[in-house]
Amino acid sequence: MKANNRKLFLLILMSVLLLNLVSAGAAAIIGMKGLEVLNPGAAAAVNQIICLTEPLSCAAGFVVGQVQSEVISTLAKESPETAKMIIAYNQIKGGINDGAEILEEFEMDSNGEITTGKMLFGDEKVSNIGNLIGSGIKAEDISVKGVELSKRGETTTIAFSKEESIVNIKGNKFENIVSQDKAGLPTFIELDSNGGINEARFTVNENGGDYVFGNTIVNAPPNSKVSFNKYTGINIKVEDGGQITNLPMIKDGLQNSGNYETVMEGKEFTLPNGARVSGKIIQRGEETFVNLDDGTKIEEVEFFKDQNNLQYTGEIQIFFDGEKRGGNSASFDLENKKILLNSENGNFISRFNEGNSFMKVDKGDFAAIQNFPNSEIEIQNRDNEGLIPRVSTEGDFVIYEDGKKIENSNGKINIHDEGYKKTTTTSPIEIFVLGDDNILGERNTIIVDNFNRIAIGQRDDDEISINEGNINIKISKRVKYNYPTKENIEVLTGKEIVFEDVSEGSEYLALGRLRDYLDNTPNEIKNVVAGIKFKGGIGAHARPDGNIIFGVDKTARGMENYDFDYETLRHEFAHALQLKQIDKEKGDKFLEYLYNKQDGFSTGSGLLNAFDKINRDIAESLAETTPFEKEWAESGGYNFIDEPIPENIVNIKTIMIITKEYTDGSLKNGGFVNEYGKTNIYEDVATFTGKVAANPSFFKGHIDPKSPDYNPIYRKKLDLLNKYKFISEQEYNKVLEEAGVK
Amino acid sequence: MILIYFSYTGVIKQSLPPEAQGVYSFVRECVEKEAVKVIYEVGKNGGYFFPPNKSTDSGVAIYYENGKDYMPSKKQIEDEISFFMNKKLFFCTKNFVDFTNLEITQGDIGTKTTIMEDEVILDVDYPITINNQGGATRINDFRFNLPVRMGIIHDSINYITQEQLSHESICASCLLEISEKNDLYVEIMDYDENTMIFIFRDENSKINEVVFVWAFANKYKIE
Repeated sequence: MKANNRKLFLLILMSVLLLNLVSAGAAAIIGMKGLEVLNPGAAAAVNQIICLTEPLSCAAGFVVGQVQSEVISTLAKESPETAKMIIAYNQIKGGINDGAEILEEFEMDSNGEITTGKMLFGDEKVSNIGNLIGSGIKAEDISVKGVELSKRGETTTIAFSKEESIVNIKGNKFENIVSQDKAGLPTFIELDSNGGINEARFTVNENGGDYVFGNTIVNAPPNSKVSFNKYTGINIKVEDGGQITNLPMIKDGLQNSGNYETVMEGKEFTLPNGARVSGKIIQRGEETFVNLDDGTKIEEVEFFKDQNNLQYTGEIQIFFDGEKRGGNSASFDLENKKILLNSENGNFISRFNEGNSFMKVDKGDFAAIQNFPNSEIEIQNRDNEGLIPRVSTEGDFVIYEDGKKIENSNGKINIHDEGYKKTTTTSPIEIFVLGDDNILGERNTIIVDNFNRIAIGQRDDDEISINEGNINIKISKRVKYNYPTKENIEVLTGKEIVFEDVSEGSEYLALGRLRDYLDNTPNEIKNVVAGIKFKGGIGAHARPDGNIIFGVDKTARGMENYDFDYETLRHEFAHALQLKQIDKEKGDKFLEYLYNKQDGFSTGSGLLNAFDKINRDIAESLAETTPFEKEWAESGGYNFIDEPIPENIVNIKTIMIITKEYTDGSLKNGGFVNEYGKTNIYEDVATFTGKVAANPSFFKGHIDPKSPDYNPIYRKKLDLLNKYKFISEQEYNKVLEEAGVK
Repeated sequence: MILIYFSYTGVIKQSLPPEAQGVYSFVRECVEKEAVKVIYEVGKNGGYFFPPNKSTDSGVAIYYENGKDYMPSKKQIEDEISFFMNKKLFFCTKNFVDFTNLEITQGDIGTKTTIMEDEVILDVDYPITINNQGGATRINDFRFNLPVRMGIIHDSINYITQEQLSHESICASCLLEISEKNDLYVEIMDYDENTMIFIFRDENSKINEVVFVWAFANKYKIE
């Protein structure tokens, strides 16, 4: 024998031996050909009883036809195990007759139990397969249609392979399930030999459905993904906008076994009561929980743990009846827009996001309440009373309002400043401190309004009325935080503030804005300004003595929309800085000529035609060009720098700016921020400064050499603003960062 | 309504001669005017006529920083008021240049300030001698009681400042308690990232309808 032949012989011999080993445990095999009984004893029983009785059922060592029940009964008397083999075969054969296909032969042990095998059931007819799953199960207890059944020892996996797949386990139907191929995910139910579900994973189709795991019934909304594990419980991933129609329930209220925890999760879904949920809801029996690790939001109230104080990191129980509850819990009353937060030993945080039903929260605001152990907090929306939400507290708490914390602990109420301001707005609430150890006293409340202000004092005292948005509360302001008054702003800024012919409402708004704007203005720029005057009228104006005048329209709306915003404030501050170098008396006259403004302020139509009105001789003598202005004019390519000054132009302060680029259109936008910037050098500088401060991204295209709007004049002017401290280094860098040219 | 008491020596218990009466009234007006200015300025600057080194850019005195108390004592404030009363009064009387027909000599001005709970007492020793043909009239004592509850305000703020030393937050309930107890109003403003300005207003201390205020700042560590 040649070496190659010897190798081939050995290979064949090993294969045969291996095949025998594989089949060594199998007493019978069911394949598409039929039933092949390998166990000699069983084979003899089959030959003697079946093949002799029903010769047509036997062919070439296989049982090929369905065996009659009388014959099986006879067989069972001689060999019960063999009879079980025949019964299983009969069923599989029946399935094949109904369109099923054996994908992998079924092997049976000597007891007649199927140990392995795989079969695809057609989607035309329902097949009863209970006894294929386990010997203790009746065939009709479990029926299937359009599934792939795979048996491995005591475990049977039923995969949903068709769109119309159905699995019915003792009356609990699994249907409306997307096929595995379409879902692109494992889609199956795994059963133990008693027909109990070990594990399941499937995607529900557009019809949704109710499913039973153990003793727990769950509702899976359309297109949700369901998974189950007998050790970890049920998980339903709900698609965005999905609605759960029934919370998980115990099927048989008397039974405790087989009750599984159900987790319902999704980015945004609704519970049967209409509560909006984002995150995970845990249902245990009839009780609902959220885990503080999950950051779950219910009705835009988010629950999480305090990372700095991990006394309690577990769960809080959720109720939807609005009743006072114990433990660590949140009880929602959706109809009356009320929530009760109770802590037994927890220190969880409840964050109120934009769109919650209980308190007004603007986009980007951080409003949250932290319960400390043994505390109870109720938040009641009072929109229908025209009042801001009422927050009633017993025990220790922390209320977070953007960069501020109001903390009640150790018998004191403290306000903490976190040192940053995310926004200028806060969520308006009125805090009532209740309980025997109420530190505030019975009549006092704490009011937080929408503008980062806090007031503490007695209710029902008409000293102050807050009327903004939906706030309408009168309190005595014994202690006030961040309430701008003329005197406060003067102390705060060290600058004189004057109001003249301005309504109280406009004054109040102007002061609030001024406080916020000055807060954002770099100190070195603020210091240039000596005083700020608000005066009835239109327009804004800076004077050489460092005083700035803002026009305040008689209506708050007018002011809000026109005269006083951050860009305007910085615009005028830039004027003040530039005018600082001019002698006050000469400067006043100069401005009068330039703008035809009396008392530094125009109440009329604004700018007059400088060319017509200016007295050239006077203006020339009044205003000398400063080094900054010369550099600016050169950088800006003002026309007269290297060309004869036109007859009617006095100097760079008074001309209507005409740059070379502007004239011939060789460079984009002429290097100006807007049309008004072309008025004269003051407005050019001021419009630039205002835009840098209020809208740094404006320059993005203008200073990026790769941009079609690029014009080198913009960058030169920005560099000069930085050099001469019209803007801070930080503001300058922000512009460059926004443009990606830093 | 201001209650002001003046006394003078020289022509004790008798009517002043007409020419001396004019001088007396002139000085009295100066004392009154400057006292009000100094007291209000000292209140606004937290106990100082000019902002101290430890103050905000806007000139508000800092009382608390890094667990330490920088609040001036009553004695320091009394001395501050006295010092600037002397200076301001000297400039106010302008060496009596307006009294061209009188020979007036003046000595050094010495003011003693006493901060009481509900008033500030200024004892101004301003020796003035008015010579005329009939002899000399000497005036020297000007006592002025300002109805400003500086003692109550100082004690209230001191209570808050001492309480402040143990933590880096604002005790709102303490402010409420002390303001209710002493009928004061407290206003707090964010100054910068870690500085708060406190303004104590006393509606019971009004001169010419202007409410007396006391401002100071606390600097906190950012948590």
